[in-house]
Amino acid sequence: MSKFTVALRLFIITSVTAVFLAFAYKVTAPITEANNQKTFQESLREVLPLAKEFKQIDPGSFEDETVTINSINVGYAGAEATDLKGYVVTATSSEGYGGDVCVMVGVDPSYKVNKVIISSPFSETPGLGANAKKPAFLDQFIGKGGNIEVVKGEAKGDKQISAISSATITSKAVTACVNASIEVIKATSQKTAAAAEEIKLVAEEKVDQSNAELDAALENRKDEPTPVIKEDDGNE
Amino acid sequence: MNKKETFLNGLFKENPTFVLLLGMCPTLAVTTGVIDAMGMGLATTFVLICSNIFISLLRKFIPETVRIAGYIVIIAGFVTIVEMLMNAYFPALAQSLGMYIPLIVVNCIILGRAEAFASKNGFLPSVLDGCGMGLGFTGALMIIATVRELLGAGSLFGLPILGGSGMSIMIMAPGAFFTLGIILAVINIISAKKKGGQEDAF
Repeated sequence: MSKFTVALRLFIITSVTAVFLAFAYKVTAPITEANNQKTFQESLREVLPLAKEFKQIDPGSFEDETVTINSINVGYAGAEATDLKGYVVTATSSEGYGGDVCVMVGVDPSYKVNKVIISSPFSETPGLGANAKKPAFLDQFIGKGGNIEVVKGEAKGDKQISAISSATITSKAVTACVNASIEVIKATSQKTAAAAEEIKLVAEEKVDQSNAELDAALENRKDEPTPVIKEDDGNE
Repeated sequence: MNKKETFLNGLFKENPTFVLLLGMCPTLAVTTGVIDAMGMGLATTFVLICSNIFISLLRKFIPETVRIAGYIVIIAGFVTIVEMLMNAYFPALAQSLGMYIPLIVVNCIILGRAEAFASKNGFLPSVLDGCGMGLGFTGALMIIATVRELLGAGSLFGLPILGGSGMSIMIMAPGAFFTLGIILAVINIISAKKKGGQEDAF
């Protein structure tokens, strides 16, 4: 077999493989994307069952050494934007034992954890860190309100959870995500509250201003020499 | 070698894990639980059968001098397509097998069988070889995983037995080496004893 034939055959093999790959990708990519979307929506409902509609908002920039906030979804009970049921945050910690740990946290309007689930990527050691997926660990977060601390052994009070035995690193990574999620929700809702406050202030200022203008105008009017209407009492 | 022998070859005489010592990376990494081991083993078996089919059908087309490059392109392309199809149509299965699928590409058992068997044999023997080798690998992984899960986590198939707790060192990397070493030692003792009596054993 000549060198040319060898190269040509290898070229044919790679080309045919590439065509198959491209075809398979074109067929499967939209389905995979739809699947991922569906899974994401289902997860949102799982961590915040009271909410029916979710609206994604800008996660902004969150400053933390280890945790990244991927997305924030605000959950409402209906189409009306008034009936707030809580927030869902997806956060990733880079401090897992086997790489990134991604967590989805449902937070109710009073900044208490509603439910936590592990999403992907998550590649902690099976039998050790992967026990973080079990309710025995995750249910500890329910009802807690941030600044949660991981302790070995029995957890006391509402600021502590007990670590998975032999998997403290994973436990800490998950907890860091939950804490960061609550922080970012507090910051975001404060920001929106502040924005609302600002609008109110501006409006009030405007009202004040227009009041002042009116006063000034009135004042000016007073300053003007009041046309004295001389009453002509011809009967004097 | 008849058909039955071809199939049984991978299960016992040339068991990829215990005799050929191929594919040690997944053997050590994915044997912490029996379910994971079974998933990895069956996924590998599937890919092995299919890659054996492709290689044996294309064995006259692939030039001798660049055969390894050809095998790798075919196997990697094939595994990637399987992964895409699984993500699209069987998302639950894809989620549980997760990262094992891409790992199969670099599993040397696949390349080893392509080189040693499928490139020299026809369609049917290659299928049988893929089945035997794959199931031999699955069985070996499950044996190691049974020991490790039982001693390390106190459970089997994820169900708690033995009080549901164990020595965590057996779940971690050293436990894999302990288990594999002891099993290999036992197999060697048995085969040495049998060799003393009769020639053709294990």
